[in-house]
Amino acid sequence: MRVSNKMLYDTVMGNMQRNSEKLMELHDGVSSGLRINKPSDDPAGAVKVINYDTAISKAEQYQRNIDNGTAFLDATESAVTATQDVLQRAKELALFALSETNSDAEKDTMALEVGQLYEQVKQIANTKFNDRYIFAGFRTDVAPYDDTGSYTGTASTNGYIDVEIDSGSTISINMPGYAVFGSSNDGTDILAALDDLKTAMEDNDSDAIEAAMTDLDAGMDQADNVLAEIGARLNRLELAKNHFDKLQFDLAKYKSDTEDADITSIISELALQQSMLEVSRSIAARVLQQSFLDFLR
Amino acid sequence: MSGIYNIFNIGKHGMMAQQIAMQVISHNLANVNTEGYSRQEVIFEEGMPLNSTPGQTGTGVNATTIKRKYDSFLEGQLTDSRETLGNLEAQKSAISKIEDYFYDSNGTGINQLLDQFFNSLQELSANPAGTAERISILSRADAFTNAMNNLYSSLEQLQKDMNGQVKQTVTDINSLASQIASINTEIQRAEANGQNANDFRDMRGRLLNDLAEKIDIQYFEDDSGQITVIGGGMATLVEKGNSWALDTDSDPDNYGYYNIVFSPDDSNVLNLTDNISDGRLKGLLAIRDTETRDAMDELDRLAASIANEINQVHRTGFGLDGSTGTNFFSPSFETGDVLSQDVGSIRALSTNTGTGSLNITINNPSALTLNNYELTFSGGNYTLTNKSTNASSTAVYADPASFTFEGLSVTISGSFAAGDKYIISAHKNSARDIQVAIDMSDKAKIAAATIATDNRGDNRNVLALVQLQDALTIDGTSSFSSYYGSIVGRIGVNSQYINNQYSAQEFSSEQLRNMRESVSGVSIDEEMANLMKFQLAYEASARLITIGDELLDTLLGILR
Repeated sequence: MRVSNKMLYDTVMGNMQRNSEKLMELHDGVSSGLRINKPSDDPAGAVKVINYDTAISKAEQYQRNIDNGTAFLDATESAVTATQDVLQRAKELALFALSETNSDAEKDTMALEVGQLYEQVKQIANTKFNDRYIFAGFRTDVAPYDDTGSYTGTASTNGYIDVEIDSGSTISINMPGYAVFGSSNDGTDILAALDDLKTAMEDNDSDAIEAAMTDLDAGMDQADNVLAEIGARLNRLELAKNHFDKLQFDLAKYKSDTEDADITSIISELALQQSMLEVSRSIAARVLQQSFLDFLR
Repeated sequence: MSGIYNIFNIGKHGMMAQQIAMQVISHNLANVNTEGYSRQEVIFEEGMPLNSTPGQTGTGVNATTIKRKYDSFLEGQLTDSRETLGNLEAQKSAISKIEDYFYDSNGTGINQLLDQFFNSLQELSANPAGTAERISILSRADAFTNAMNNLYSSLEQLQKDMNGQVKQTVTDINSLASQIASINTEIQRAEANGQNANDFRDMRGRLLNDLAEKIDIQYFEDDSGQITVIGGGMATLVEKGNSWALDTDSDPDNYGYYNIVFSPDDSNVLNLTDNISDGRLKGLLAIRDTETRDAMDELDRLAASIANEINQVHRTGFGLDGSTGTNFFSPSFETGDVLSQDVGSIRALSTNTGTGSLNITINNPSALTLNNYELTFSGGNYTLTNKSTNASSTAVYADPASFTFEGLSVTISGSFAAGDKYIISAHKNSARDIQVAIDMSDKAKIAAATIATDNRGDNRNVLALVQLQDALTIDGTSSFSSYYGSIVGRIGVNSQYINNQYSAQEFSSEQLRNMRESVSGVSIDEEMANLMKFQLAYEASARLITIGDELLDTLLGILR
């Protein structure tokens, strides 16, 4: 083949250009740390990265939802536990009142204490968390138990606030008051039972005290059930949280596997490419400099 | 007897011939770096011999022609490869811009903003009355719609750039065609006199290559050495010394973008746009009318789908103030919304001649599939075609006619001509127009609840909104995010394909250039060796004359 000067020059330059171009691509990979800088670098990979991004963002949000839900349920749980303590004390007082040895004056004192217990339960039932009444169902801006102790929150069977803790899977983060403290229509109305007990003590009416005690027992059962349910939900939240802890780690790893450049191999390739560029440069210097002219006088 | 004088003659012709050869070599050497230059060579021939005894004696040498070294087959391949390279080059740089618009690895991409919007809805579901949560929703939604608007307008800007370049390329083509025509004349003039128009032919070859880079061409040479060039498959750009100009013309049916038209005479106007098959023009048109158009359509569909789905759920819910029926995004895609020409949802072709009118309203938002449709009239029938699925249905037209399909209700009335066509898409320009329809001051209207009163803790509607994130709302197969992913994937595959094609083409055209150089290129080594050869021959011829002179002296000395 005839070789012209331009051909020689073009070939040498082309090689040098290609080597420099590759070197630059590798530099890009090293500096961004990414294997996929544009979708065309790996279209399927780019789509995966988008999906991982969404999955990671959702996992983070689900964890926040779980944390929010856990905080809300924790507040609910401690309120219910406190209620149980109060009911326990009320039962003790009722048993005490039933024994023959107490005078009327003592029963009046006990009635006064039961009155305090009544107020305490009402206060618990009107607990606020983050400025929201936790037992009001959806009506979180109004105290669910009014002065007379009647329930004014969302009526049964509504009022459960659900949040998503996984795609399509929800959990209720609250207990509406009617399910915990009861109301005139639902379950055992604990406030009414305490009020009844107080009146019975004042009236020194043993039958009525016993009736109130039965109601209090039912109220205790009701609170037990609520605690069991909250416990189960907190358990589920805990499991979900662990799941997302692991998932988030996995997703970040998948994303990195898909998107990140393998720095070790890039750097060794970089070194190779650099020496190739040097070779093509030294060849260029040798080939382009010489011509027949050098050998003519 | 005339022997001695013959020596003078032969010496003179020899010197002249070698001198021409050296002149050609100096021309070659001077053009060693000229792109498209073909090495020239002098053809020597013996002079006509003279009859004499003992036999014919030679009369020396003549330089008969100067030829250029050239392979017309290679030149043809080179122009072909320039066409493809021009096409791919135009597409390559544009599509890499589109990729950048859609794929942002630093966290501000459309997809991330959409995720953040849904996350803010999740936050509201945990605290439905929260003011901060409501503000966050509105600002996230705003960030998302702004990004959507910006992406759309970037694509539109790219389209406009491509359009401007189409016009510029047409101007370049016209200038090249007229230069080729005038060189045609020069070649014809020179070669009619028996000359070889080597340098003109090189110049013309260079211009042809430049022209091929811009548009697909075919060319052939006639007996007079002039070439006829046909561009875009059917437009005679150059014939002998004449050239015809291409022109651009706004196409009302393509958003006013340019068509490429050719008018060989005053009465004929040919639309070349669809016939151009290669070269830079083809690349620009492909990006303008296919690549960006597709991306914009998909983006419109995504925006419309998000607005429609979110609005449907949002309208059923209640705000803190008891308000209901509120749209979260505009456009609203609400029952009764009229599709209008103004936003491009209905487009009548400019060639329509009927006077009838078309009225389309949304009659069932949940049935909207947001596809592209075409309504055509022919022979008393009208046909509705879904351009996405290619399903179509035909009915006899009785004025007025009403029908519903895929969530739209259509009434047509008046007279239509056969061939009238309407292009219908409810989602057209949604990505350009999408906005949050709730003011920051109206944040209480965000409908988190499903009940009108006592609803500060009710999050059931926002929960339904949240669930739209994963719902397969588009074509029943894609969520918003996976649809966006499929757009990015499609663009990535296209771009990868073009990049690969480009590299392959670049490599093969480099090979071709080398092959051409091997035939036509100048080698300094070779020219220097030849120069010495001719210099030596020149010296020898000059020496002949000296010797002839001495011979004459000797002869004259006898007489003294």
